[in-house]
Amino acid sequence: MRRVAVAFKVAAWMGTLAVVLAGAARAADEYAYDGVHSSISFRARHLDISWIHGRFNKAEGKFTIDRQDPTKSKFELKISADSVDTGNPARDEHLRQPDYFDTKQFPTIDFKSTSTKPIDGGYEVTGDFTLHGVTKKVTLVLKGGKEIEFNKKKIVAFATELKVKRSDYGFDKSQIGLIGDEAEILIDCEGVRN
Amino acid sequence: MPEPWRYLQALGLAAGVGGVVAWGVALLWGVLRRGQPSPRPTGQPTLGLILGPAFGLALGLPLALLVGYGWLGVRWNGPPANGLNRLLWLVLPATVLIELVIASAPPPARWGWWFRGALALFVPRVLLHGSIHLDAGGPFREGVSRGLLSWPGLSAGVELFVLGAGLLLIWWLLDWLARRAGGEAVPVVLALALLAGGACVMLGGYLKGGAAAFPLAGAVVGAPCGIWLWQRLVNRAGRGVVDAGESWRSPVVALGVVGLFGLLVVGCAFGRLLPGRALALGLAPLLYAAPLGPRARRWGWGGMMAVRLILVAALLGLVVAVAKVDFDRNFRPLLGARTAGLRSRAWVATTPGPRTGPKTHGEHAVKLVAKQTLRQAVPAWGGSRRTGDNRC
Repeated sequence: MRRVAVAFKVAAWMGTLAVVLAGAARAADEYAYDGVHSSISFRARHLDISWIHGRFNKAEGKFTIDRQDPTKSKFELKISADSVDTGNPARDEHLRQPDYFDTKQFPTIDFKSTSTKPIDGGYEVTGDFTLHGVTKKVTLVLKGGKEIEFNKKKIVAFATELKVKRSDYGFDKSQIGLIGDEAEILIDCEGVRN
Repeated sequence: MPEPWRYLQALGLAAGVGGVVAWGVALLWGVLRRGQPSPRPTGQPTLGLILGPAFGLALGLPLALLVGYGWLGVRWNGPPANGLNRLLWLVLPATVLIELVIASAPPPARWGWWFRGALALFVPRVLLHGSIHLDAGGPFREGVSRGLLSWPGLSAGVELFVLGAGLLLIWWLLDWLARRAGGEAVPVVLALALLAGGACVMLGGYLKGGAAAFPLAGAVVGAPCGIWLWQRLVNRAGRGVVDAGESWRSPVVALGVVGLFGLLVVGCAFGRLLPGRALALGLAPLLYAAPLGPRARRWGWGGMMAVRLILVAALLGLVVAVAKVDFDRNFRPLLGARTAGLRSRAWVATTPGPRTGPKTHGEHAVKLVAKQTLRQAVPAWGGSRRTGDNRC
């Protein structure tokens, strides 16, 4: 009888432990990039008098958000450089050429976080940003992160902006005259919990 | 923006430096070897006279390329990451090095073709390294045109082998052609093909790739001119009849052929040069061997050479003209240039893009005529007429 009671106690402890562990595991939620409700756009100066706007139509990524320990959160994004779209097919074709994005040599623009810090209203994420085959450390301020439920799906959203100097990423300096050296990339993305 | 004057300056500088250095070094070598035995009675040159042009080219060709590309602003910027940089920093130096080793050996150096064959098989692999052509399984590959290497049913390895074997075959044919009577003009033919290739790559929208052809063409023409002048000087000085063809034509032909092949592969694989045009440009130099018939002998050596050069230039000019038509259709609107004349309007009318007003009956008719003309004229050069499918 005493043995049975001990066995019950052990089982109860193990069950509790399992529940705690499961809770801890769920603390880090994985989200997949939602291509339908996300947008990656950019703008660059033209002749230093106006702005050219464009967007990348294809991207994929995932992020892991640890609500209990946000420093363990991770973010990854892969953008198809070939999907560049400025609203003019001829210009898009020119942008795909080696004088600009060189999409057949460098088909993707990547970001992979290396450290995350929680800030008021989001996260400060530092990571490796690879553009045109050149990787540099950048820090993004991700605004958002609030999870909502819609159609039985858990959804989270972030927005960020990044300024890059094309000459830092190996773009041809002789081509920088017409289109400005500095470009702004605006990312608004939604993630759906797996 | 294209800078034609700068490209021509790079061409002239490369030709000038290549010629002067090759001539000067060959001359200096001869002066230094003055104490050596005089040429043999058979007219065969001494080893010194064979090595003179080899050393001239050893310095002339690389210096010509360095000065020409330096003028265009091409600098070493870490390990070469794209196809063009791999061509300029790996393939061309390797070609010059191999040719100079072969040229420095006492003739006949038949083993040299083993080295050339190995290089030819490696060149396509090196040029396409790390690109989507060799990594079809990466993300976002679906629907992306792989261009050059998209022959159905063939694996990338087989395609690379076919390209390498093609390069070796054309290289061997042009080397053989350069050694025949009248072969002196082969460097000129290669320079013309390089310039036409550069123009086509530029007209496809890849300016830097096209500009790379100019210093190369300058080096290919300039260095042989320097050696030719040196040869005339030596022959006039009565140091035996010197024909340094064995030792100097091959390195120049090698640099020209490998450079042309590399330019066309890079233009096709990374730019918008159509494979059909690349093939025409690559094979055009072989037209220099075209038989002219028995009557042509009356024109003499110079006349036959001129006719053959015109034949090659005509084919190259035709390919450039077709590329220019494509450029006017696809890219000229981007430059904001106004097109004039019915023909230009017809090309522009086929350009897909946003319309600012309703289409008139006249415009519709022009568009139909243009479409029919294109359907008849273009299949011979490959590619369809839609902008999206036009990529190689």
